[in-house]
Amino acid sequence: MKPELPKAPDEEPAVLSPQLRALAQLARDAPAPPLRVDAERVHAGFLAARRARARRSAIVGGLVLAAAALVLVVTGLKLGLSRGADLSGHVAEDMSPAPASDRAVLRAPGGVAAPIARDDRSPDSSSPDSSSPDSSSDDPTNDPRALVRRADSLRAAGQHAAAAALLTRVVREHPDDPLARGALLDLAALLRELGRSAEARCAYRLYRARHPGALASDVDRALARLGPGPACDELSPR
Amino acid sequence: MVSDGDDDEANVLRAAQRGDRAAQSQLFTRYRERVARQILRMVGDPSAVDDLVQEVFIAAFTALPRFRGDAQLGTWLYAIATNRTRNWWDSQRRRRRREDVAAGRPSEPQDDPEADLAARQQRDHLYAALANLPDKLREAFIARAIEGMNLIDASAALGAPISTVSYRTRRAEQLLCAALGLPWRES
Repeated sequence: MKPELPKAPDEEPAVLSPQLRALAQLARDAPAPPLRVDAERVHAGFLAARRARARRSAIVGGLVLAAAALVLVVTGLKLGLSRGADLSGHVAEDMSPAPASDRAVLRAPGGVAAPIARDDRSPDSSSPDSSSPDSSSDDPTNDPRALVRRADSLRAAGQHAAAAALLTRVVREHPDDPLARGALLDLAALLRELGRSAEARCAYRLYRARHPGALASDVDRALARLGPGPACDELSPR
Repeated sequence: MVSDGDDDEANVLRAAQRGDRAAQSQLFTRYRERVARQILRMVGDPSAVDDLVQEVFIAAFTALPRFRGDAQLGTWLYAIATNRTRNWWDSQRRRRRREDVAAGRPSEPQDDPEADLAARQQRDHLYAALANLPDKLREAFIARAIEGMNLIDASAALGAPISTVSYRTRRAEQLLCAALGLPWRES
């Protein structure tokens, strides 16, 4: 008779402290209170909220219209004054750059201002590609918590490649840290979003190898969505 | 394969999105217990549940036309309930400051059928400690430890990466153990 294998845990325990776990269990087992609210009351509240929203929209719309009308009146007055000045024989020599600024402002007769860049760059030229992994190279710490938090910020800012680079560091340099497990799943999802399917596949495979019982069905589904691919050497496709 | 149940849910959902009152009632009936239980686990105060359930469904029906089905309806409702209870925690904190209540104990339920006074007191201690946590740590702890969600579900419900949920849960545990005088070690 073969000895029974210990069942792999589903995933990392939510709470490590047994005493706190017992308290959390008490909270989970609290009996649900009898509900007095019913569908009628919710519907009445929903209608009242809709009416209040409509009133707010009407007020805001009125204010916007009033502001627009005011702007039109002021602009019209300015145009009228400027034309009056031209007619009286004054030449508008008012094309002066704005002081001490990255951009100069050319003010044309009639009050229309157009910003231009001093160094002939387009005003719309943006900073270098902010999604470059190099943008995180000033990260001064190797602490996995700091790396995960920084990765979260970068991801929220849309810098997915940089976030993936930091999560890769957590997975490679801190494989035994409790955070490495979640970081590996986040990394796999990020790589998939970035279209780096081969690397995403490797990340999911590495997760499956490191944590065979944990969230297995979710990981298998993700792998099935990615389809077959080359073998992996840890996080790198061969 | 889509089952009849899924079809039915989708039909009800579409009708509710068009503002159909009967469909909204059906959704309310289907999800109210689940939302009520979730809210109780989040705030620990049975007397607050009724009002919060109503707020959640009013907010949900208001936003329903914009629901695109990217997440499951239950997950979407969970996120709305999380936002609503965040406001509740804020108002509780303000109220406690006004009343200068030292420990931040949740208000006593008016009609608690539970006989086990000790269990209720222990829960109250836990929620008093939870009240002093930052919102995000508290929400991660509740989703993982009290709701019992796995990391992937908690990540979807809270709209945060898995590693962040993991980190926040661990940090919340550390702070709760300190507040409750429980021993804590990281691994």
